[in-house]
Amino acid sequence: MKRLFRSTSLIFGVVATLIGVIPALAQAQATITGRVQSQDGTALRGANVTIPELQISVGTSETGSYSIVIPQARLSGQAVNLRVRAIGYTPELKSVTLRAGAQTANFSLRRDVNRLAEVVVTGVTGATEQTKVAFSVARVDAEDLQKVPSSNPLTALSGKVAGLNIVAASGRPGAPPSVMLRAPTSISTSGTGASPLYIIDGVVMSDQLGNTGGGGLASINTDDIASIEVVKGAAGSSVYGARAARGVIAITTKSGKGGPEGMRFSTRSEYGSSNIEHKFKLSQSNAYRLDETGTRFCINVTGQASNSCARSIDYISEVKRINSYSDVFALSPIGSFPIDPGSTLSATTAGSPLRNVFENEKWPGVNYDAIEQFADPKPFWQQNIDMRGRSGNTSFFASANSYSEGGAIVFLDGFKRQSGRLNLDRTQGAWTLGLTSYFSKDRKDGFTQEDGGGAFFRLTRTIPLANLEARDEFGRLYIRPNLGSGGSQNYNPLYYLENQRDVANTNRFLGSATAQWRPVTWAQMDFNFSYDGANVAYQQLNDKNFRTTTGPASTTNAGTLVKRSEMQNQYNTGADLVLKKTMWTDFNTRATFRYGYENSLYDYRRGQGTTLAVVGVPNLNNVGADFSITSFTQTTKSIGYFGGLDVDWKDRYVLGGLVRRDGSSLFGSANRWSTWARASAAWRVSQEPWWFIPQINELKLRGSRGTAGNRPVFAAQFETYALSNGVLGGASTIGNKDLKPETVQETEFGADMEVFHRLGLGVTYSKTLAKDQILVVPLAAFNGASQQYQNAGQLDGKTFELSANLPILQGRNVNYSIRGTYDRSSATITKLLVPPYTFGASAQATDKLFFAREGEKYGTFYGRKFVTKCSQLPSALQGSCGSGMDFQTNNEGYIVYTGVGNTTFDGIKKNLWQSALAKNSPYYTTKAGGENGKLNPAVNTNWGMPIVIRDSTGQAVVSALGNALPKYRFGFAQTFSFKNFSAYALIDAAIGRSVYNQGRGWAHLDFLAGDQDQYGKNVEEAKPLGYYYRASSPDNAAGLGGFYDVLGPNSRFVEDASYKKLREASVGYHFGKLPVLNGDWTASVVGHNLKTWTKYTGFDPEVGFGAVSGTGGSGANSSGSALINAVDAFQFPNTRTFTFSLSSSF
Amino acid sequence: MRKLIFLIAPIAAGLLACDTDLAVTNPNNPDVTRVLARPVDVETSISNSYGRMQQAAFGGNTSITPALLTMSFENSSDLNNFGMGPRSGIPRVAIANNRGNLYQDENFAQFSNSVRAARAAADGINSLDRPGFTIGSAAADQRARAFAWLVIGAANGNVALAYDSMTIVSPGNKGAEPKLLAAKDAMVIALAQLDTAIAVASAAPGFTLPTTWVNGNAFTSAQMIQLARGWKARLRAGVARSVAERKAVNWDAVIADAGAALPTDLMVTMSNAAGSVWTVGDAQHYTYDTWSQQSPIILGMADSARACGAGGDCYDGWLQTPLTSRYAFLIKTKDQRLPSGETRADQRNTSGAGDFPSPPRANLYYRNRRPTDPAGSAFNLSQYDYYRFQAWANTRNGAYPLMTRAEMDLLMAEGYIYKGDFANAMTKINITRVANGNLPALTGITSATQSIGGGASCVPRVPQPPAFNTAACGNIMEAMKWEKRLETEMTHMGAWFFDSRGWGDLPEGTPLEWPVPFQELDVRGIPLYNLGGVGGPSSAPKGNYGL
Repeated sequence: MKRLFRSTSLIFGVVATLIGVIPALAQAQATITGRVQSQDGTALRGANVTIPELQISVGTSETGSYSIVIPQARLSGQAVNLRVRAIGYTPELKSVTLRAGAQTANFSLRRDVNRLAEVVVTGVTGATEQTKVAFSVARVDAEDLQKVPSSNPLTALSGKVAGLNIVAASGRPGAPPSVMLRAPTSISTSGTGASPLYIIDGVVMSDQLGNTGGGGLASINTDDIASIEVVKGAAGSSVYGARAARGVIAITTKSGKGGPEGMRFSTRSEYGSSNIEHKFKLSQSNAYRLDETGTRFCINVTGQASNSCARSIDYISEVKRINSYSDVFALSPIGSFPIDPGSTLSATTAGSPLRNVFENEKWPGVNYDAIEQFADPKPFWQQNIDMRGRSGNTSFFASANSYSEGGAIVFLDGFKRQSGRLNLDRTQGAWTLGLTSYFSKDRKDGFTQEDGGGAFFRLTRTIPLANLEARDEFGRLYIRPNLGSGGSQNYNPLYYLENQRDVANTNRFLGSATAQWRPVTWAQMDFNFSYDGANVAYQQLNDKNFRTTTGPASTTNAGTLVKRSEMQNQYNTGADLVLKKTMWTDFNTRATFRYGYENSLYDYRRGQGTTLAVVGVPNLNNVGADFSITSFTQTTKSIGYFGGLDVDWKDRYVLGGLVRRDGSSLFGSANRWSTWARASAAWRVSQEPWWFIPQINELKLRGSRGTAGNRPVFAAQFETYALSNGVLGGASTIGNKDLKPETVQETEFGADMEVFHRLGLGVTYSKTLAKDQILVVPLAAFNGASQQYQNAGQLDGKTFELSANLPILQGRNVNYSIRGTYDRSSATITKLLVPPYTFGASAQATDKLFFAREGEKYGTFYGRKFVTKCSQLPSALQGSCGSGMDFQTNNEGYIVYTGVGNTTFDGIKKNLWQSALAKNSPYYTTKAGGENGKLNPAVNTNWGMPIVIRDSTGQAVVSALGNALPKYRFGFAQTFSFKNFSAYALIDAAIGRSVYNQGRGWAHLDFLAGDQDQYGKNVEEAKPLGYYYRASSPDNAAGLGGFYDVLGPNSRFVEDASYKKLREASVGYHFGKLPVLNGDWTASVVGHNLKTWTKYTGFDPEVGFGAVSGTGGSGANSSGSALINAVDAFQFPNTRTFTFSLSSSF
Repeated sequence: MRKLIFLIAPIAAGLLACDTDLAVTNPNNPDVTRVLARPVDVETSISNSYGRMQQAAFGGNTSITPALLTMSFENSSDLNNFGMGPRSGIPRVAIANNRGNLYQDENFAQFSNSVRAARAAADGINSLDRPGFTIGSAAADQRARAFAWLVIGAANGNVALAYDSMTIVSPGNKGAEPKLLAAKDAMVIALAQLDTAIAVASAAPGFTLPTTWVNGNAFTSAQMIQLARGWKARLRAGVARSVAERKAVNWDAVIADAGAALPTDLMVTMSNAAGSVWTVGDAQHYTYDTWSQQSPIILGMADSARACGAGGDCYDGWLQTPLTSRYAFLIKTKDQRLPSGETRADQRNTSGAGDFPSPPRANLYYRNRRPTDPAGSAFNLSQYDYYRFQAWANTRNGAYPLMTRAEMDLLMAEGYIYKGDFANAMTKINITRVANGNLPALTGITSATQSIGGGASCVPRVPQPPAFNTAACGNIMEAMKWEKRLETEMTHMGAWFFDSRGWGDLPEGTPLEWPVPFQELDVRGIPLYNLGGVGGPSSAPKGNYGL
């Protein structure tokens, strides 16, 4: 590190020499000294004291003192401004006259409780105080982040920024969350991902790495972050042009700039553990037949009646027998159980188990909690050390971090990362040079345990009698602890976790170099070069002799191997010219011109095969069959330049405008360039001389309108033919030379207010028109190619945001403040130039969750709906619906057929579960083809069973079931401190969000969902197997009308996933200096995701598919975001983490 | 000013220095220029097209093929996957063709993939027709041209079999976006396209197709013509939507084409290699015994007559039981294509974990499945599942019959029956009836209604009107149908379905054809519509077996 620091200083020195700006040695100099303190007398360390005219900047020491030395050569008796700025305080300005000798200037700063004076740099054309920004830029400082340090910079923003919607779609350690700023701006992300633009220290992050790569920010050490700025819409992000319509999240890392001379170290150690907060309900009962002892299970015997119990088995012994087979697969169990979801159920047979068997028997013997065996609290720890300081004109920040998040699943290692950073800054005369560099390497696992084939899926098929931890006489975990049919569904999930090893290793380097030249006070040049390079090496190995429940399964037992590598290189370079001038005393102007160039390369390679020759060699040379290789490479080149003008008069009237022109290789060849623009205005009403409400010390009204874009994916403009494994397929996509980026036009209005110098309020309304939506347009089959990317739709969105800050107590010893955020967003498809289509997520049977059509509220789930209101029945039945009538509401709220004189509680008492509405009933039509208002005879209406809403032909009607986007969200944080003691808690909430709980629905297939457990229910409430089983004919002839809908969504499983979550909490004590230890010590106890209040029945209501680009759903027109693809299909739940943190600085 | 120049100069330099050429190439997928640039590319494109045509029709599970199986009892499954269960429930319902319907991908796949396969072949012909263009020799050009016409005709014909209307693809109508044609009209054109293939091949005798074109077959031009004749026979007979239409088929032409078709089974080498187009969508058909079973309504016709009564362990007992209470029963038969034995255990006669009959028999097409029967509606419950290609399915590599000689012989037999030529019909039927089924040869049949005889063990025994609760020995037509079903099962798209609709065997309300998928209708701005369902448009009347 030292060597690097030295060599970098050397580089700066050489550069400075070359440009001839080494200063002359001072002979007679001016010295300004002073002390900076808060209004309550506390010394402010790290405050920044600057003389802007001379580009001199120093920091205050621990005692708040500072000293500025000005060489004689720069003295001319001139008057300059001495400006002091400290985070959380209102800046102060003093005019001093520079002369040789010493003078003193002390400052007492007022708390800036609402941070109106803080400077933002994102979305604006130059560093600008919040009071002069005409659109919303949210800023979260290190102080906010370090109250509860988070593993990911994005999750750290949860609940802190109004308009930022975030779902940690997978709780797998290292998995990136899905982020959406304000309303959606794309109907389809077409493989680009739905994330905002991420910028770190000016490095535009590439977003091409897949799921295993970490999706952007997981590789960033959050302890390095000085601040995060969030620009939420096109009005603010116009300055970034064609790739910023989804907003911008810009991270600035710490530096030594403005700090005092010398070096300061900080360390932080955090240790704790993670676990799972919720369990989902699995049925604890069964419907199998037991013999007279109540301990042995009856099995079917060929030639014997199915319910004869001619033979019985001891379950545990049988499991042991079939699993202890020496070969690579388990033996088949003897016979089958008389009640078995995979074998003998019949919808139409009177006396079928579906109608008269109730899942109400406890399993005999020892029962196990599968989730307890599956979940395993794992350690969480990180060590961070950093140093920062200044030596003359050179300042630096360096850090090293080691991070380990084990997660909460047995046999998985989770996420581990080591990282290092070095940031250097040097001021040399008119030049300011900066260098940032960051390297991280991380390791993640568990990728293939999610979705339909993974361990989480199989967890939902585990009966209480299955001991997942049991091993056979060869030391192997049982592969088939569940004797029921279902084949691979009954694999022991722990076997997969232990034996399917899939690991991704990622290396990432982020670096930037900047140079600022300010030869005159009114102009400066900025040069920058940034680089983002990463590579991912992924491997999945099921080694030779991998076990199966049946067999032999040649390819699986012989082993499979997948290896994949990804590489991305992206660099950006550019130059800015900024001209600033104050005219007529109070008229400030700033003109900005920028030129930028981007070049990125992404390369993907993958090979796989089966039938390994030897054990333990994860080398593709070891595979002997089923070879498959694939690769792709894409290069992107873009140019952007803009000009902007910002003016303000008397700090009251703020106007700004810019025009940007972008060219990109991603656009069609006939539309290589696009133009973006913004106009903005703010009026600080409270600064008017006539302002008459002194209690409102700040009131700013602001409005802005701007455009920004979303770029097409690489392949979108090209004509393509399919190519796979050396086989040329047919035409796939017709090229489009006219393809343009999506244009999002946002109009934003808002107001910022401060009352009594305490209460801060911000309110913003934004409206977006997202035009030229890039959609994959189907073509008539006749064309030969199936699709073309076209600009073919419009999505209108609106968002309302509110943020408030109330510092209730502000004393030297006691502080208590409350912060809150609130937002609501929605989007509607207002134009669609393609035929309406459906889209969805990537899990099985989830590809048709949503409709794209004009007038559609974006994110609305569709599926079957069960009748819960009389008005949903065919009209001929509605008059017979109600208490005491043919159709009545049962105790779960569903309207079912009961018959007059019966109640919904009579199913067992009167033996009615066996019956059905007669087909000659007047409720059924006799007209061929069906009749409106009547039931179609193709559909059975069984007694007591839920009724699907159908049309006259018997087809289930596809109905709206809920919306993936929350109706509103809010965050609520409280901070309290008393002397050295501090406490903090943040609750955030998403209300009115729906999630399709596919996992719960799927578990109904094997009668293992918690809903199906009838143990303890009385004869009036108990429901037979069929009530929960398959949909009735004609959709499935094996069903009576139950809820299991073969993985498709319905109103039973699209659940209200509203939640309130205690997202963060900490309690800390600041020890200060300890007698035996150097440094300034603080200890705290920290918690993440501590408590969730929700009615959602899955692991976690924060769930969905598609956090990363390209994985957002099946079909080309998928949403690309877990915030839309809100499907719970066996993903890792978010973990609850408790840690103890000890930090010190010295 | 000087400083200003210094300030502006770097930006200007940057503007000039940076690469302003924003064009990049796509190194991942070729475009048409690269695909058809060279003669060898054109030939390669055409050579791949038969595989693509085959794959579009029969190569994948996300297609209408699984539903065609269950709707015609070629197989049965109550799983909703691919529409198998919903399409086969009784009473039958319409094919929902609304946007976002559950089986939109399945409904669309055959239509679009077949048309696209035809388009690729047509593009190949257009490339051949470019002035001065040649693959290398006139013979090579004609070989490619003939083969492309074969693919175009077969692909268009497959669409006409399944959908009520369609776009005909031909080399001459590229870009013209022709209107949808009724299936029967389209079939006329498809047959003419096959005639073109035959004519082109006839004009250039002596060529041999490389073995990769119809994988594993080095067909001579004469054999390619035989293949085309087989396609013509299959398509011409199969396009009929009703009994009347089936009878009205030009059976002389069918007999002629079938007689001139390949003399042996068309065995195509399948491959499970990634990316291969030589695949059969088999997963749900018989690879997994939990997915499917063999419906008793057809297979039960092999059961020998015996008194067992309603609910008894025989076909008659099964027929006498209400539909909603039916069950799996043991079939005792002399037909050797089914397992022999007086008990289920005898019929299983399995060994080893593979659970397959032992010793294996080449002519064993069905097995008495494991007692872990899959779930199903009572009507579909069965002790039997399909076994004939199970060994092939274990690897999905190797030769697979896609057009059997038996199919052709039995098409001829059908034609002879309609023409009243029962002697020739019996000859054709007896080929497999005797050799594979080990059943007594048909003799002495002189009328279409005459029972084939054979007493209690005759095969087939067919449900009898009006109640359809008893079975009796079938006539020659039923004997032909029995043979055709057993010998063509799982060999091509809709092997049972297209025959059954023309024979009048489908249950009432069964959609006789698929509507043009909504995706295509939407693109063309045509209102959406459904087909099938009891009383609905294009639906089957009550079938010959009482359903």
